[in-house]
Amino acid sequence: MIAIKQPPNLEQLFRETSADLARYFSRRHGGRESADDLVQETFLKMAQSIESGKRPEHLRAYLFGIARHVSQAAWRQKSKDSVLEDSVPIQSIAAGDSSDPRVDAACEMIDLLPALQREILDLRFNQNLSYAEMAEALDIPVGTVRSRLHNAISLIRNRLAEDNPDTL
Amino acid sequence: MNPKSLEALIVDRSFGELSPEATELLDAYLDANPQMQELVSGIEEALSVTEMAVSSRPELFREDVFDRTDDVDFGSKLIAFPGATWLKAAAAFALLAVAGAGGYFAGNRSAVSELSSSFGPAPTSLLSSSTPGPWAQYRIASGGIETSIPTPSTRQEP
Repeated sequence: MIAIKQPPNLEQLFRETSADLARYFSRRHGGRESADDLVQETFLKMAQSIESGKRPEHLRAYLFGIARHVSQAAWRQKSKDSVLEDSVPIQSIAAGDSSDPRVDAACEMIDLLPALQREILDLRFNQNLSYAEMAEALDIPVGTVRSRLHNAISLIRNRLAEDNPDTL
Repeated sequence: MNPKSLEALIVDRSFGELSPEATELLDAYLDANPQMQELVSGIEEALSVTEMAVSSRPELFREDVFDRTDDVDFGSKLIAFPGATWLKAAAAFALLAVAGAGGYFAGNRSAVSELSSSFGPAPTSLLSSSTPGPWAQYRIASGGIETSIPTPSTRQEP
């Protein structure tokens, strides 16, 4: 029996994921100003892709994969146009100012991680994507997602243990 | 169990990525090894603190920190490299090696032949014993070593 995949219901997908995508973009770009536009652009690209016959296995993951490219492209354009006056320098924020010293220690460790590992942490803890979904969104093997995530958690755990050897 | 593998399994279980069977096995293992409880609570705390850090510090995940051009992920590229291509490359190397070795030995053998033709008859060990030569031939018979000196009628001129 041949199963023909039906095109996904984009309206329903929009209702379910637009808030998450807006949050994703606002975190990436440091504000909500352009987030809504980027969400629209992401769904437009998704619709074009589906129209051209693409039937992704994990819709949400595929959508985040598109969002990632859209975000990169928007940032590059923004950098070219030098419209960065509303952005806050990263160095001033990365310094610890949380009430919980453990969170500060974890942030310091995250700050040292390569971009890919940070993206994995963000997609896992902020968007609640599964290993398979993260792999599809980032276009890398599931094994890589798993190993990078484990490595990041292990580094953070070791850092916390260094700071407080009695508790960990 | 390898501590790294155990740590990975505990993280997978926390994320709900472990099958029910594997979860059951892991739980049984942890029940049988209560000294591992410290490791479990350490990992769970690290996960909880990481979650707080990720949600409270969005600036750590902004687009400008993702300078992807200098984050070449060699590990994943190697893993993602299609296996069939590796096999093809390995087969090509093997063929080259066989061809090279064959050429080397063929070259050596022809060098011996050339030497033998240039400097006269080669030692008997290098030549086929079936070829009749003009020189005295030795053969092992049941009664001992026999020596035969070719007669003029049987001698072949080179």
